[in-house]
Amino acid sequence: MADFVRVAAVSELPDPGKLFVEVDDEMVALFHVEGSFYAIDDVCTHDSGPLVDGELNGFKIACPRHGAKFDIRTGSALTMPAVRSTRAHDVKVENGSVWVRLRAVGVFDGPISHAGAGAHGFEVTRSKMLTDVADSSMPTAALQTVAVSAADSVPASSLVLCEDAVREMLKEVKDPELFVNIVDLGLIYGVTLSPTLDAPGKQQVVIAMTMTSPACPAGPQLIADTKRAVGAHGDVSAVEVRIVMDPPWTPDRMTDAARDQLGIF
Amino acid sequence: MSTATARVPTASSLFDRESLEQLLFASKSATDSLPTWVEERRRTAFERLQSLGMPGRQDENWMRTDLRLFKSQAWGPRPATAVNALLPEGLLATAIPAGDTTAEPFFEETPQAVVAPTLAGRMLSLDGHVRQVSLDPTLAQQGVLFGSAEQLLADHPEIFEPHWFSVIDSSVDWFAALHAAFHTASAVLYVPAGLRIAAPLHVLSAISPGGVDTSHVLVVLGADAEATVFTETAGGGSVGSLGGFHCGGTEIVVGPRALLRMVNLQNWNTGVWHFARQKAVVHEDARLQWTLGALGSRLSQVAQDVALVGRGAHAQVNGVMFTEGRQQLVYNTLQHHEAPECRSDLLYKGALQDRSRLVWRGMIKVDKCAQKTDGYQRNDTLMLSREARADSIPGLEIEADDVRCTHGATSGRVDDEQIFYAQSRGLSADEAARLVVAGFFQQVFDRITIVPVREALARAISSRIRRVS
Repeated sequence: MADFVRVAAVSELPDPGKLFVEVDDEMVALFHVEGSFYAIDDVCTHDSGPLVDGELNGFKIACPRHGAKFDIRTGSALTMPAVRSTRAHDVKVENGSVWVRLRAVGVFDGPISHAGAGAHGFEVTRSKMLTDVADSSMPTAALQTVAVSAADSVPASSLVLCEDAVREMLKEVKDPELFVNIVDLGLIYGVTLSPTLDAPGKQQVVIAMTMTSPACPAGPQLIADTKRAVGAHGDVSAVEVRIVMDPPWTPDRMTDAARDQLGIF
Repeated sequence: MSTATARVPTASSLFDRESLEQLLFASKSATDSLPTWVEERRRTAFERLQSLGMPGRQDENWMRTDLRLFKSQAWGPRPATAVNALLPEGLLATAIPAGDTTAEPFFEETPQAVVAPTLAGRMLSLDGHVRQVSLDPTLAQQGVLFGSAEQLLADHPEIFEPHWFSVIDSSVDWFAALHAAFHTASAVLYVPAGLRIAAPLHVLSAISPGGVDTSHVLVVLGADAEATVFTETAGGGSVGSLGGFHCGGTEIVVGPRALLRMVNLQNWNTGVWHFARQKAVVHEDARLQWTLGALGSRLSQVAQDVALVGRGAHAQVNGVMFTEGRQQLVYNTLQHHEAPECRSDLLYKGALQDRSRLVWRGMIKVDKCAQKTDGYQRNDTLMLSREARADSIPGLEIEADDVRCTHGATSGRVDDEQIFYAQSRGLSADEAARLVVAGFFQQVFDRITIVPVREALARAISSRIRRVS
């Protein structure tokens, strides 16, 4: 495990602010947002360019070249064209300085395990709390441990099963031609949950969805992906997908997020 | 001073005016008379260097190269190391005397010189200082010029002045200008018209850890001449240390109907920054077989241009790359057809391990007059890990209307089923991976007709493959 390296003075970075730093010969983007510091690899996983020159908006940094957005707290890829998360690092603030410790990546000589819904190209990096780095011998006033929030990075499949959770899980299913998820495309007409009689605590899910056209060639794949995404939740006993063609899908069913992604304004 | 003028931020380094004057002073004392044109070309390049900053991402050739960890101010000319300093060994240098050195036929329609089992000449340099020069005395009698540039440029301006830093464009970016101003330990070769040299000539540029190499290579083949030239690099520090810095250039002129086999092997340690600009000019009915091998360096940025300037010129370009760790290699190639009925054929193959990155951006440019052009370019990459990344960007720019130009690129991972099958036949996963990688490179090895070069590359790659993940 690498050591913490001092990268900047707290005063160097306004809030909100961003800074390119070098840690152990790696390029890292350091952020200061809402009182906390975050560090991620300064590499857009889409085209390998730097992120730090992009626009910082809340906890999101947008790649200046193609607009891929990443969560600075977790490194998660939030929008196309990036589909893989960039690496998030551990940060602490001590004695007025910001320290970064690189996390191991990419075990070089072994298979790399990817958390989250790898089948859909997204991996969810979960940050861990940094309580283990707090040195108890330091005066508490001088020691401020920055906890890297994990709220946004909890996989949907670990949420309590409810309609919203199902919709979150469905966001992992993407139209293979448009690369936009089926929820934002407006393909989901309804989600119904009902208790399973023979398996207490489990629920069966019925999803009413449509296709952008009746002869959609991606139909079977979308149905299979939908079943797999929702079926991954431990409390789901069965998933049924009902294809509904009436009312027909129209482009105005898309959310603004989908429009943005497709470049329709 | 209140005049506000828009200025490009210039890059600072220890390659400054003072070190340029020291370099010129040293050259003048080393040779009887330093030709003024050599000095002037250095000074012109230096003025250009002063006006330039680091290449930025808005430049198409540099947009995939991250130079933020490159510290220009850390580098400058290095004093000569102790005479007894150990010279890092080259891969080709060790392969030549030991191996079977017969060359297989290349361009079969011509009579073939047999590559003799010894070297015709050798030049070794360490940290930008020449350590050893030798040339077969028979060849010297026949008019072959080979060795350290300074004296030969002074003695034979009629041969070298038209080409010296005229083939490559030294004004194009900071590194090109730096190289043209501060080149040292440069090698030149001239083969007179009609002379066919069977044995290869070898140039090894080495650095010690943290060292600097700015060597230049100029090869001029007269009409109907034939030669085989190996240039290679070795040494430097590994990643995490200061590493090393190479900023070099290669100029090649292949006279009418001449045949040149050129091999450049880049085998620095993994901490070395490598910047190189290489260009060959191929005249009518001349043939060039140019093989690039790249195994080392932390970051490489190489421009490799071939200009086919005479009717019927033919160039074959082979590239073999293997990257690992966090290496990043960027190649920009150009096959420029400036005359009719020329042929160019480029094949780059790369395998990537760990988190390494390989970028190839190739262009075939066909001028309006270059009818009946036959141009091909292909780049194949094999990813041995999930974290590796390869970018292949082929391009065509054609102004003539009667040409055949094609290109292709493939990239992929090792097929798990092939590994599984090999394991079912009693091979370990590692052995199976080596076999698959060897098979992948076979296509380009088949084109490298110089046996010891092919074997040295195959051995070096095989020893680097760890495990496919």
